[in-house]
Amino acid sequence: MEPASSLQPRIAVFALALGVVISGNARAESSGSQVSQESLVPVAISVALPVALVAGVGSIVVTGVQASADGTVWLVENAADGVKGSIRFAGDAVGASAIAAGTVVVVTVVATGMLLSAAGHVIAFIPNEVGRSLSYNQRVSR
Amino acid sequence: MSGASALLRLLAGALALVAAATACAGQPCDTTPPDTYAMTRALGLAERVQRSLDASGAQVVIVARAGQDLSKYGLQWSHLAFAYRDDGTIPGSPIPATATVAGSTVLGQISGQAIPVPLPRRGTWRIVHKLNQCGTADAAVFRQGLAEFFLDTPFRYEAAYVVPDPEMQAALLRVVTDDQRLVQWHTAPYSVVAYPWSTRYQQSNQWALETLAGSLDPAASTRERAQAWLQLHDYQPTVLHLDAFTRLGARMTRANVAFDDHPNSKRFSDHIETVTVESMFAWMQRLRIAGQPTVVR
Repeated sequence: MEPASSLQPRIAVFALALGVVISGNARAESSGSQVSQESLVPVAISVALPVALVAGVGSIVVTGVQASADGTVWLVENAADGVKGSIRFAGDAVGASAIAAGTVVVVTVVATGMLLSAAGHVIAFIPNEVGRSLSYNQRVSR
Repeated sequence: MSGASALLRLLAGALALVAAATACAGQPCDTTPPDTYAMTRALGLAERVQRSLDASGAQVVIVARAGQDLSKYGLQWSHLAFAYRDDGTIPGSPIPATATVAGSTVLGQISGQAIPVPLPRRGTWRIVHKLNQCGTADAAVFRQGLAEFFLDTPFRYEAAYVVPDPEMQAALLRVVTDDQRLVQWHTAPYSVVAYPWSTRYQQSNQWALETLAGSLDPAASTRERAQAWLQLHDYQPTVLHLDAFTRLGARMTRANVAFDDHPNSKRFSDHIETVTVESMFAWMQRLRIAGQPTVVR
């Protein structure tokens, strides 16, 4: 009894990127979904950050964006102490390459990972083990 | 009635049912990224539901969400799905137990030591349900995670689930893990108020109900037969009272609302029957094939 879709782009996006993380099969299936291509929240597939930055709650600054066929890498810097790191997204994580250098990103730690936000909206998700287990997207019927 | 007042009444009716239809449904598609608060709440609810399901000891449950406010119809929940525990050993399982992480496995670095990204745990819960896409006239069956299920900006961040009896869980498990069987009772044409005893359209809860019937009885192998089985087992749909102006307005403004599958005698007496979460939960308890709903907040 749910008419207008429950399958918002935001969700599909979220699922698409995470699908890349957990299963190649899921990725292929998700990529075939029209909604998935409209996804807006990229999900990090790996993070190389000093533990202080990973664990801290605060903000980071995106100092550079490197796009390639393999994916997109955000070069980031802790706004407080200048510690540097990077966050990598899959090549088809829509939205990951749209961020501009200089963007200040708020890091919110939740039970399922970390949400990266700008202007109050989530722009990326870094799932932990629990967060990874919660997400999946596969269209079963054609 | 003057032409102007008739038009006003029509518009008011249209708006009312549009609101109701949207309610049962969730949100129309938009391209706005989710706000941090909403996503935090949705992920939190997904995690709490996962813990509750883990503690239930069940392998398969029927779970509902409150996508929109349907209280004016006396309904608390708007949409349901099957949730099953995927331990990686089930045939057709989407995630093998040996799943590997694509790309780098570096989560963080401490003094140059890489921290591997943890693999998805065994016993991950998956959702299978039918979704209408962006208010169109069609719907499709999806397998998703609990996060996706609750990331739809629900009206209330709550969930309810019932645990079927072990025999029914076993029957459902054979279906929900099998992509071919999941679409056996699926029809793409969609109406949010689809008539329960017609196969012209199919709404999300109706798909779940017919799939449940087909899982329990091999003879209920088609939508028609599943509906006959449900009538035989005294399933009682919810009756919504929608007047003519409301029906006409909704039909004119929404692609996913139709009434031409309802018998004229019922339709023209404002008697619209459809499958709801409440009617399914009540029927399952009446038949003693599932327990009382557990609510997770």
